[in-house]
Amino acid sequence: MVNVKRKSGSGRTERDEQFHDFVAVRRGHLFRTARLLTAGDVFLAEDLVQTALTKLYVSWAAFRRADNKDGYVRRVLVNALVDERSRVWRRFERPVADIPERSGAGAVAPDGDPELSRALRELPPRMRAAVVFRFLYDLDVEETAAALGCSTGTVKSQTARALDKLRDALERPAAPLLHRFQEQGMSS
Amino acid sequence: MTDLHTRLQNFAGPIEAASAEVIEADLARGHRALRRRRTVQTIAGSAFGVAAIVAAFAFTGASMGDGSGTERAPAVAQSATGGLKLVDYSGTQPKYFTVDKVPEGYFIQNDDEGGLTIAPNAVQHPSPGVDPSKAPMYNPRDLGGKIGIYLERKDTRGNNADGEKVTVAGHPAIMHPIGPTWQLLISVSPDVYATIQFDVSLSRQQMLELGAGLHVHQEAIDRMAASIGK
Repeated sequence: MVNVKRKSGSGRTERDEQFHDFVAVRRGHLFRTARLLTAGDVFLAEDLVQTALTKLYVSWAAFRRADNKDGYVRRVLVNALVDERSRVWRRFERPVADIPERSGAGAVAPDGDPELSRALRELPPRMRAAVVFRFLYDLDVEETAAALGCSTGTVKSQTARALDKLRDALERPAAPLLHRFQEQGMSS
Repeated sequence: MTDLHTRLQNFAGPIEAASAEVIEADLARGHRALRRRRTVQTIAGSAFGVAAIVAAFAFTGASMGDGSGTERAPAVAQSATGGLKLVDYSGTQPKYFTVDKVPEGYFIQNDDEGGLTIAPNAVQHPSPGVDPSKAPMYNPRDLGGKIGIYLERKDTRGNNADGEKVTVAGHPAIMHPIGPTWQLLISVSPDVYATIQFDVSLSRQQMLELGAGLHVHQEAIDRMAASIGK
């Protein structure tokens, strides 16, 4: 049910107040994660964050009840990513040559790392998410599985395949750098 | 020389504080999403006059759980008051699909290269005082409170979609919830899913029955299989 409790004088519901505080603290983190999940597309990242936050607001009671709130948020973000991708992919009349490249800031990585941007873009979204959670946020296999809504075995296989693809996509100087992570991902 | 961790960190950029305006905008979107759900309730109630349907539109789906899919499916169709009922589709068939079944009182609101939107008949006739340009239900591309059907390449899900494995008209398929909605991913070729997204109150059996009555034309499958994007 919708929470209609209102804080005296503010005109806002209790849910509004809690959500406001959550967004104030966590939005920047969410956007940073979304920027990676979208391979640096800041426009899509913003869409992703807005979608995820809206879903959170609507399901605020469930979020508040969640034992692992960080995991809950990550899962919502990944679901929003997959959902967004589905909508993008609804254009089945477009062959690859007709798909326009995004231009402007949306296509540019913040630190200007076009190689990494391209490499991430070539990964399917869930595989990309596995890389982000495992190797940027150092989540273990179980936490990553919870975020992706899949088994730990899937996380391991997705991670291994992602590293192979990244190694192929990145230029030679980057390849040795993946070695440490490949060991980590394949041995977990 | 930097490693992957560092490159990812740099690539992600700094954590930026949200401005008061941005936070208010997020809150406003949340409010609108709740209002949209109430609009769906109103439309469903006026269209069918079945109180149980109204109740079912409000947060009946599951959020995240064990993936078994049975107990979390909306249960209105099994209730004593009836609920949504599947009927033979008698309207004009869409370009790339053949649809055998739709919920009673629903029509194909949108049919284009992106897929289909199946919506309640009531959205064709806005109630007095309702501005269709402001209520998402009247937007054919908004899937809230509707059924969306579209094709997608399997590799967009990492070729490894999770959920309950089922068989739909002889095709392997996967059912899983996304928040309050359900998706049925029917494997129509080695590379392509026909995805049906249910944001309406149908039982699990009805979702499978509707899926079994969906026929995707080979031309559409071939086009999707050949498409590659980022």
